[in-house]
Amino acid sequence: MTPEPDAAPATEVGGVSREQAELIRAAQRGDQEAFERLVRGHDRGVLRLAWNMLRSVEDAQEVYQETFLRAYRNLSSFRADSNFQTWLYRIAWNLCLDYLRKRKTSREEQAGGDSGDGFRSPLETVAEQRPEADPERVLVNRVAAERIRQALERLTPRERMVFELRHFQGLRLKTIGEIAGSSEEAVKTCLFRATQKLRAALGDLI
Amino acid sequence: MDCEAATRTLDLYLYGELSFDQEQALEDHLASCAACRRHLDELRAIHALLERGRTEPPAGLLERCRSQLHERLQAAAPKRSLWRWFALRPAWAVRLATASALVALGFWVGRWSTPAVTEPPPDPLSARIRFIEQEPGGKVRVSIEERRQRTLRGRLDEEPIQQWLLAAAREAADPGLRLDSVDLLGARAQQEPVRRALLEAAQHDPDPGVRLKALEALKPFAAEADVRQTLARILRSDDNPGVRIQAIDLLIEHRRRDELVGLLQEIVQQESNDYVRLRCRQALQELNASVGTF
Repeated sequence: MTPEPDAAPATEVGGVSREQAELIRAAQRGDQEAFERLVRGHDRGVLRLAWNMLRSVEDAQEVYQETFLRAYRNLSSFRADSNFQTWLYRIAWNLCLDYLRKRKTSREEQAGGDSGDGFRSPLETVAEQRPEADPERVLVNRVAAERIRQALERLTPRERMVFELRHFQGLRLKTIGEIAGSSEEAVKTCLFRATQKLRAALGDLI
Repeated sequence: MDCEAATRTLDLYLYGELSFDQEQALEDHLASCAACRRHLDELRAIHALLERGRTEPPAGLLERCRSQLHERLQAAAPKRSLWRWFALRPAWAVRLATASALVALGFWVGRWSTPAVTEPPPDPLSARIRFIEQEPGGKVRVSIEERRQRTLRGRLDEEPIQQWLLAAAREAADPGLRLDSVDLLGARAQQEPVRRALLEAAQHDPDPGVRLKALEALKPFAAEADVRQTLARILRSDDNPGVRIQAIDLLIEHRRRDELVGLLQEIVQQESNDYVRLRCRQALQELNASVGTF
């Protein structure tokens, strides 16, 4: 299964299509319609990121709104030679990390907190989201689902974000580095640590 | 390349993140190292396993986000967009100017007879301040987001009502709401989107009561292939014995011997619940089939 591509620029100029560059200029002049057209080229990926990281409709909605409202307010500072998608993902990345940190703190505050925090693993919810998918392919059994949920939860927020963007969204490590404000090497190390942990946790399931 | 370096690059190889030279070096190493080849196969299997964790946001969420964003953007930049709109539509500008003059006149007349009306303060439990901005002339603009309750009324076959019921059946946090939605949707189970929602609820709703209600709604369609496949899956994997019994009852209503005997024999062998096992045995007897396979 390949990730659905977001914006599909026809002619690239410095990482931004001509059409996108025009929309950015129009949006910077205050054209809300142009901004919303820009949003539609990238918002599916941003929502998918927020949803997969936070697993809460309310939180994912909040991250979506906050990402694009911040982008709208700060559009004048966006440089035309930058990559718009990377810029948006950077905002969403920081917001998701904030939410995950807050959630971690609140869990730690709840002594003996268990899984009753509303968080549901991908496998617990996947078939509900994609009724058209073959459930046997999606959901092998509940034991495996629980194991995968635990394995993903044990990753650090940064490891989960890097894994999500590389594995599920198919972004290049170089781009993920730009989003995370890290070097490509640091992202490679982070991904390596994430997959090592997943392998150690799930190795006996394969 | 040695095994340690190979181990660190296997993931990048699977993700297509290696340079041509690195890829070549790794493939040369793999050709001569069975341990690293096994490691690579293991990683491939882990990647495949994790693929099952790929999910999409709930249906309708993206549209809701877009619509909410549209409203917020309009609230955030009302002046700019309004001027731009009128700049593109001069005839409306004239109409608005006339209307504004009339409203201003009415307001001026009204001021003589009525005191100024003040906006009630927002309810802090249902309202949220989005931003505060100082405007010229000493005024302050406070933008508030309020959650308002809406009521919709309509027949079950009307599109908006059905859409809300489908959304509630899938997404409502309250199992009672999901149960009511599934119950109401049962009357429309012949429609494809409703059927899908019911099949989904029957298999995956966390609440066994909702799953049973969905099965009840699917009863008239128990002869159809998609429903029977779902029933077989429920029988194999649902953790609630009551739901499994209901699946057997629906399957056995249509005595398709060839399809059922193998499944029921399989369940008899694997089932841990005495009553479900007993029901399977009875069903096999009703089908004149043996309990075990020979």
